Amino acid sequence: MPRTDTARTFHVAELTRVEGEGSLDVVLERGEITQLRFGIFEAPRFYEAFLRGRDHREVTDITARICGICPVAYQTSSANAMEQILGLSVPDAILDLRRLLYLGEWLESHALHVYLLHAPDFLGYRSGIELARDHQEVVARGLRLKKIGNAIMTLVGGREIHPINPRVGGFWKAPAEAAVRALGDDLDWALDAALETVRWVAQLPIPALEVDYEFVALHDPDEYAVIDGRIRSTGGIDIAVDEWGEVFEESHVEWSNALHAKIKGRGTYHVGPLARYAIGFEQLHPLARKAAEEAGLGPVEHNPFKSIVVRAVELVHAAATSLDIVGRYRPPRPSHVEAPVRAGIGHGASEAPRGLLYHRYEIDGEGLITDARIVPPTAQNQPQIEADLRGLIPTILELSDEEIQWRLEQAIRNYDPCISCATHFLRVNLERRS
Amino acid sequence: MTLLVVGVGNPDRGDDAVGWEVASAVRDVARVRLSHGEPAGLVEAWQSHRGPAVMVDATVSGRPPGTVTVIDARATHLDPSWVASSHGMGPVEAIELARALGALPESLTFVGVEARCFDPGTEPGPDVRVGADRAISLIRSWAGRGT
Repeated sequence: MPRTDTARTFHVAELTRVEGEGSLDVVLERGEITQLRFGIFEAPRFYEAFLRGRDHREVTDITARICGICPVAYQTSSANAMEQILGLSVPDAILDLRRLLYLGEWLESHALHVYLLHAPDFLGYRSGIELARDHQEVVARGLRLKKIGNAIMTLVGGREIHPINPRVGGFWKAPAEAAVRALGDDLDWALDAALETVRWVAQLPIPALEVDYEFVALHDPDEYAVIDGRIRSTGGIDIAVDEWGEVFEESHVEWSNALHAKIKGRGTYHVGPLARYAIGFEQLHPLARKAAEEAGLGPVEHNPFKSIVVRAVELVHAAATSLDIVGRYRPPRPSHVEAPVRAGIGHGASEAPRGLLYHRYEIDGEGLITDARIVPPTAQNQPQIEADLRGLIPTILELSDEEIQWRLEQAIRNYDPCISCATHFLRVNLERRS
Repeated sequence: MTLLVVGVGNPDRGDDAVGWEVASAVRDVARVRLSHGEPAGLVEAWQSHRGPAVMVDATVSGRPPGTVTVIDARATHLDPSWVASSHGMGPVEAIELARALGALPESLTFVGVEARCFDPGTEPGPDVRVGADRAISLIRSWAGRGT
């Protein structure tokens, strides 16, 4: 990266350790940011368009294909919406199984991000592989955690990527009690490993940055909301999922193939682990809350670089809650509920590993989808990522070009962006002009 | 010593199915595992296997479709750009991760079959199938030697 008195240009052909293809262009003139664009150039994927005309019962199988990392999130949000249209009341035992599957996805996704994608940034390694060369035991722990998440996905979902067992109204088949109980030993290990993860990430060198976020996440008074809830924000929003469109809006910007979401009349907002933690701290599993407190976290954290610690706290929550579910599991019979088809509009949301995932569908009297809208967490976070970088850059101008680029990429990875979901590789260009 | 053959790919994406097809064709002489390329699963597969192992996958190196490449993956670092993955980590990174963790099997041979078309819902092309047959013969000869 050349540095001259008049211009400073950063160019990274591909940002690694993110899911998907994106770019960052920054122009600095006399130390002032005159352009900052976090762009997603992955081609539009048209899921909303080709859902139209498909049977509403196919929605969980089709939307699962949007992402290999968080398919359960898509299946759950879409199932919630269809169940609302059909007036289905899903029994608690089925919801418990849905919760277990979802927490399996959190385990595998969070373990991958914490250990292999994000931790290297904090320790000066360019990749998880370099980290593994010097810290074999640490990375092996992360991989085993991920594997346990995958095992839950395989057992409950039918396979670890793009599960096939979830359906509108529940599951095609409930796993046998003995098979679910057999997850207990691994989950006992996972809980200890997750607690060790919190201790490990809490001692990483965390860059200083405070951002006045409006956090948005699902809230449920009875649990740390994952599979459903009301939409709440730290700025006073408290709405049913149905009201998403009344409070939030999406717009297109020329430098991104993913829509930008904002709060109407207010602006950017933040979804993901930091937001869930701020909205649902009181509902965290007691072991997770205790781990957070021991790690020095307050009930709300505004430093985006602490997202790695909060993500580790969520690993504790996922392992502990999964253990609870496994301990009380009885196969739900029937494994799903059904209702006659009727036309209508339904809204569904759930907490994907990267944040709030909102779906809206309209189906006709034949049960065919006539309209679909999918708002993934990374699309919602795009404007906030840009705002974070605008706040960060002035504080790091004195660093070398290489250090600035490193920190920018690290800041983007705070969000664990899944660009595949939002519309995949990130290019970073930073240009300094006199 | 049983030979482990890990077929990597996607059976629904044209030539990318070749890893699965080759691995599936040697089930009578080897222990076979099919993978979408998920790194933790691959590392675990090698960690839990004490004998020699083969990984078969489609490659995109610019050579003619069906070209078979054989690399001693213990002795050589693979070029990540050959084996495509839309995610941050793919099969090549899995090999390097296993190497860093000291988790590679006693031998790991990478067999690549050059691919061209990855269109959804299509099957491997005829050139790639010819390459697959060569890869199958090679793996069978290795299984027969017990290596």
